[in-house]
Amino acid sequence: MSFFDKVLKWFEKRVHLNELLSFITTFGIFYYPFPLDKSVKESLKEVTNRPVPYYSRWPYFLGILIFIQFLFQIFTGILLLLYYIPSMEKGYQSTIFIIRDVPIGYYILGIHRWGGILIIIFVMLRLLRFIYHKIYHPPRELFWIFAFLIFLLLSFQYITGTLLPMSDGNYWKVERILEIIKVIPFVDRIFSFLYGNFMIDKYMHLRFYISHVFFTPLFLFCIFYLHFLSVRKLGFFTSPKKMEPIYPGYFYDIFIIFLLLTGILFSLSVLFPAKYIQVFDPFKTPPKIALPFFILPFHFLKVKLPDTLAGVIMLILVLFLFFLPWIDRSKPIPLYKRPLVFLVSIMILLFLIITGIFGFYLK
Amino acid sequence: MKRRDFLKWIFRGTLSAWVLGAIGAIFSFIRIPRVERREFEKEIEVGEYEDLKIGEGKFIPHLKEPLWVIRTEGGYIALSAVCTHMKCILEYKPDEKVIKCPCHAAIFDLSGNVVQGPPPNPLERYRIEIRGERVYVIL
Amino acid sequence: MIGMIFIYLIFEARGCMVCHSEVRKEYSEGVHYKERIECISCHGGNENTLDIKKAHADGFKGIPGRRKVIKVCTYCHSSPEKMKPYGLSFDQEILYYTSEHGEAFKKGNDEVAVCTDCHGVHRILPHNDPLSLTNKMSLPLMCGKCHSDFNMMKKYGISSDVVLEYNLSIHAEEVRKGNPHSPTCVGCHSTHGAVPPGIGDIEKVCGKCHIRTREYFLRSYHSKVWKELDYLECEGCHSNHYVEKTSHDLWKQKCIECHERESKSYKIAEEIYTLFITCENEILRAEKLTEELRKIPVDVEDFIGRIEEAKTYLIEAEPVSHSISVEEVKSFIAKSKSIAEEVQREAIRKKKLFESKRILLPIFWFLIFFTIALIIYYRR
Repeated sequence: MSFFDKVLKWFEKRVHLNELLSFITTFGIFYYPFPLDKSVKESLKEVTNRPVPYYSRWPYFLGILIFIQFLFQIFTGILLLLYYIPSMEKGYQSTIFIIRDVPIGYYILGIHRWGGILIIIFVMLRLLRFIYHKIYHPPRELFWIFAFLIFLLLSFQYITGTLLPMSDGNYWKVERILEIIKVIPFVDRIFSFLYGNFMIDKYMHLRFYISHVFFTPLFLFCIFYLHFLSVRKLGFFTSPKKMEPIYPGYFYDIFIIFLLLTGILFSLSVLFPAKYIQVFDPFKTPPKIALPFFILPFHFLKVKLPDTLAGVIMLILVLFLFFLPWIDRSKPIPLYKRPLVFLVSIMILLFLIITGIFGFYLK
Repeated sequence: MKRRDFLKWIFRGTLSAWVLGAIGAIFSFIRIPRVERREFEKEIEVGEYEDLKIGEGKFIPHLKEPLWVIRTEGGYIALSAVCTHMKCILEYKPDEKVIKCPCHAAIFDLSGNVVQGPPPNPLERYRIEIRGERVYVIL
Repeated sequence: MIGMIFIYLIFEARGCMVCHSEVRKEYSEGVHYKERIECISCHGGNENTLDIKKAHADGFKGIPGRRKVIKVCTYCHSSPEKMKPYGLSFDQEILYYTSEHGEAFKKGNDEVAVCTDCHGVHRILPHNDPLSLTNKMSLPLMCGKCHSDFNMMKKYGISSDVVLEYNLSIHAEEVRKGNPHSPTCVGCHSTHGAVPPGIGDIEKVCGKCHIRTREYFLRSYHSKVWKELDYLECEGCHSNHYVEKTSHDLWKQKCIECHERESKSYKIAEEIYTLFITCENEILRAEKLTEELRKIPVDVEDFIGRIEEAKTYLIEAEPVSHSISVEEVKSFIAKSKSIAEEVQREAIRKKKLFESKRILLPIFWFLIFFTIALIIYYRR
């Protein structure tokens, strides 16, 4: 009996380690219900040797990818928290300090920034897959709701995170986004109640900060937990045929995904670094403001249409997508076999893409 | 079987190298860098009170605002070392008790006022704080 | 009558103002009213009566007229006893008669400027009052009343563009910016004793402010020869009223007016010109590199300070160049240039060091693929 085993035994007598492990496995890394009545070692062995469907292949791994990316963001975010000073004046200074003076701070910030963009792309792909295969067919409506909520919260994470460096470009990006939020009915009331009156001042900055580092991640974590719980309850919609034991097969697959993700984020952060050229100046609008891609369609609508109309359209679009499982009542077969839904979803997609492109080229 | 063992060791080695590398990188990030940086600082430490004798001056090269810290009979004074005319770096003349501009022969007195020459404005003066025996300039 | 008394009581006006109400507003704004200098001090008469005849007796002078106005003003303003309490000078009369205006006045010219032309008649304000005619901001306009009048200036053979030229100059620009040291008309021509500075005096007038420039100019060969040749010192190259912000191109434009293109003197000018231009370019290049690095961001605090030092030497060299000595200019330029070049070298080194981080990318990807291959191979 090795030393490690002794320590394990000591702890096992005093803490219910199986409960702890079963909590961790709820999050899908080892997707399997954890046996609670055996000793830790035995149950770990049992769990890891059980064959599970081969989820580390396209497009099944999108969900787990998002979760890995989310953990990545939390990890780098905690590291950045060590140096970031949440204030209007010092935000920029501390950001520059991280990039310039802290070893590998340049990469950590770059990875955190690019990770935020990538995770939104992953969530979008996942939503498209949901629509394509109609995964939200009853009783799995909640899958869609959770996925869509994750998308909304992550977009909000992106917006709040954009403000934090307090550089010139980022400040005006957020200013533009606030203008868009301002025209959406009901949402603007909630927003102004929580964050102040659509003016970037020290209170809004502080609340954005708190939101970004605590509340939104907390909500996201809860949603992830609920989502995994509901997946456990209902099972997957489609399953790959091939089976694979959790360890080593599944575990190493995830490790490979993790490595590739790290490589991609690292390359992106080196090749396309963020430029925080100067501190924000509320009295000088820069000539070009680069908005994030998922905001562009809304930006176009807001600029081209009267405010109320644009706001109502945006709200209807969001509500429509939110209640999609109850609106789309077709059979759970691939999209191209459902002509009406196919037509509508293609139209919405084209509308978003075209307005997005127009929004990009808007003066 | 031997080849298999060798492979196993390489495999384990690579994995532990990844883990060690990640830990090293994160540790290097966590440790607060000791960088002397004055750009964003709001106060500058000049030194001990007795470092300068009466009449002596000390030049402080600071990014935004190079300074002359001068000890007079009355105590310490801190003046901007950038001429308000053409942004030349000023020189302190201890014998004459004036600050001179080498470019256009402007002369400032130790209150920062223009005594002679083209500068449009007096020099900016900074607050001096003495905490214990140490002298600080507050920007 | 009762109404007049009423006005007299209500407005506390002097007796004169009851009838001459048209000047009351104008006069009451002036400094003389505030100092209780009464109408009778200039115009004579009796102010304590409302009877027209009595009021206009007692040495009544009426409107003094252009010839007499100087006597009226200097009655007080040349009296030391009266001026001392106010801290005003009392030599204006003497100075005035030394001026071109005064000389002409003595010869019987009535058109020439007298006290009231510059200071106003009833509404006389001190020169530091922003509404005053003689205030620094409005001075060119005030002089321009006559000196921009083409027909009037033609008689005396003077250019009528001087004010226009001045307004375009760097001096006027600085005045508009609020630089208290920048001269207006009176800065060079003096106030009451207004004369154009003669040849031989120009460097003294300009040297009042441009001390270093004068110092080095006096060392030069030009200063000796030009006096003999009656050549206008500073004005020769920099013009008199239209003094522009000097650029180094002046070396090419002005020297050619006297010197032959092949001559040795012109070669010196060209040499100094190239010295300045190369130094300026070096500093510009260093600044550009530093700005690039700052945007990355890389620490450039040190560079910015040193570039500032290099600029100091360059600006220092500008007055020195008036001595037309290549060696003297070179000693300053060389310092400036060497600092700028050093900053450039270090900036490029830092930039390369930063860019070398990209080499990490292929290494990183190689490691990743190596590990992946190993995992796949090992699991098989």
